[in-house]
Amino acid sequence: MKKDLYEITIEYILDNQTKFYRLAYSYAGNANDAMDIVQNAICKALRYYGTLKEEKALRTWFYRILVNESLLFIKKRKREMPSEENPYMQQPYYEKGYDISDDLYDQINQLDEEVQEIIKLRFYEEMTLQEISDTLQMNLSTVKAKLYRGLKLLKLSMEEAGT
Amino acid sequence: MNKKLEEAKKKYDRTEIPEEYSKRVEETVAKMRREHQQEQKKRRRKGIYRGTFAGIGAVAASFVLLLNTSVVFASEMQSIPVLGAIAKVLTFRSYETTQDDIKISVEIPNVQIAEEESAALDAAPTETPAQTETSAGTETLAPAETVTETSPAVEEVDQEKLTEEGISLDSPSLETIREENKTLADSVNEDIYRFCTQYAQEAIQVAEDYRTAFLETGGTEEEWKQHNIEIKVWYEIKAQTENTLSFIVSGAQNWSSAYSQSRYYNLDLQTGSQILLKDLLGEDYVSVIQKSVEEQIPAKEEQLGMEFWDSQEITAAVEKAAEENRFYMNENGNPVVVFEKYEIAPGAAGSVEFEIPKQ
Repeated sequence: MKKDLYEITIEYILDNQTKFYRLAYSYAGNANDAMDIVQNAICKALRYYGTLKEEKALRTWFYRILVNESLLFIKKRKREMPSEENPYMQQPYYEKGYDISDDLYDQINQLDEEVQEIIKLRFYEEMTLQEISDTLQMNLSTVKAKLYRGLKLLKLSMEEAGT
Repeated sequence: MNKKLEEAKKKYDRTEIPEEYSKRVEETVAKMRREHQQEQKKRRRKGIYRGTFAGIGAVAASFVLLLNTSVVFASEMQSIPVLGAIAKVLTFRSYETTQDDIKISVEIPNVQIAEEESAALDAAPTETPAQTETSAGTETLAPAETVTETSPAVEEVDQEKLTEEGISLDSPSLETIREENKTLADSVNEDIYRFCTQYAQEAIQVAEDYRTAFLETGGTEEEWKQHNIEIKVWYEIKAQTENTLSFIVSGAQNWSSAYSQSRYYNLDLQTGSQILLKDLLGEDYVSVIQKSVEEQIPAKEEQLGMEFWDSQEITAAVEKAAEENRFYMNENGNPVVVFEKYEIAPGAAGSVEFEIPKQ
């Protein structure tokens, strides 16, 4: 039975909801905010599903919305933290020698936003570089460069990371 | 993969999902779907479908064409033996056709309310025009008057078609139909006819749009064919007593539940009026339904093994169903309120019905 894009989108959302939550949670760090992020992403996706051109692009299209929603949330939280430079919310790059957490999960969450996204989509969501490039609407070579930079910061080599 | 990275992924995959999360997602989807459906309805009312004005005329034309060329255009009047003496629901027109690999089947009902003397004649069917089924080619049709409010083009073609097929248009004598009830039957029949033809036209439009988009984005005719798109308009008689008649006319498409539509008809055969929830449950029928639905939900939840939406959603759904008089009457004479799929429960529950006892 063939359905229209709207129904397909709904089905996709219902089937993959736990994945969305995990990604949102990795940005939000708490359940309530993570649920808000996913909820907003679903509302936007279904309200503007007309921007989805074909079924094939569904996954990258939805992740784009979800990632944007997550970033929007982070920006908002930063704004609501009343301090000039927001020292603790401004995620610093981890330079060599910096005392970093031993937990790679936390380390990834502290990377520069774009690098963070690329690493999460690549390793957690197992997207191809091309899919990441589509999701983030970023040039493929930029994606590669940023991924490489991220891995270097995490002290991982491309080979080790299996990329 | 690097061990540390593997561990990070494991940690990610183990992210605990809050218990209420899935319900919240489903509620969000339900809310958005409702918004979407209302939007669709609004667009339909305005006659704008996906911004194509040009399309409407084209489709109206193709619908006429469809009526005109359909081989199985069954113009016979079938007698449905569900109804007793006073009223009959007959298939006024039914046809099946395929256009661009879109299968369309339509069954338009027609209500006839006869006065008691003529009802007695039912034993001898040939005497009652509405039930007449004579030799092929001379089947009786419902009064042409019932279609007066439809587009003249369609009506004209219908008649032309009927003549072509050698079918005589022998309207049953309206004398056998009680005066005041004749008005009811007429207005109801007009309403049904309009609903059915409009639904079919719009559904074809939507399916054609889909087809165009499908072909434009690289789909082949062959693949399109495999979609097996079907559009159906049909009716279902829910209950009938000596004085009341309940039936539902529905339109649906197999590829998208978003476009399904149903009309609920509850007729009082004595007074000749449509029965409303207000008539059965009193002025504060909304709160009566609200209360009854709330009471019945726990049992339904258990029976279906799923949790319904929260009370806020349910209140909104009840108000909507009540406002639309979305119900039928069962054999006990109680109204049964119908909630659409996703309206108050997860999609797996399908549409959910609640019998509301009269007080």
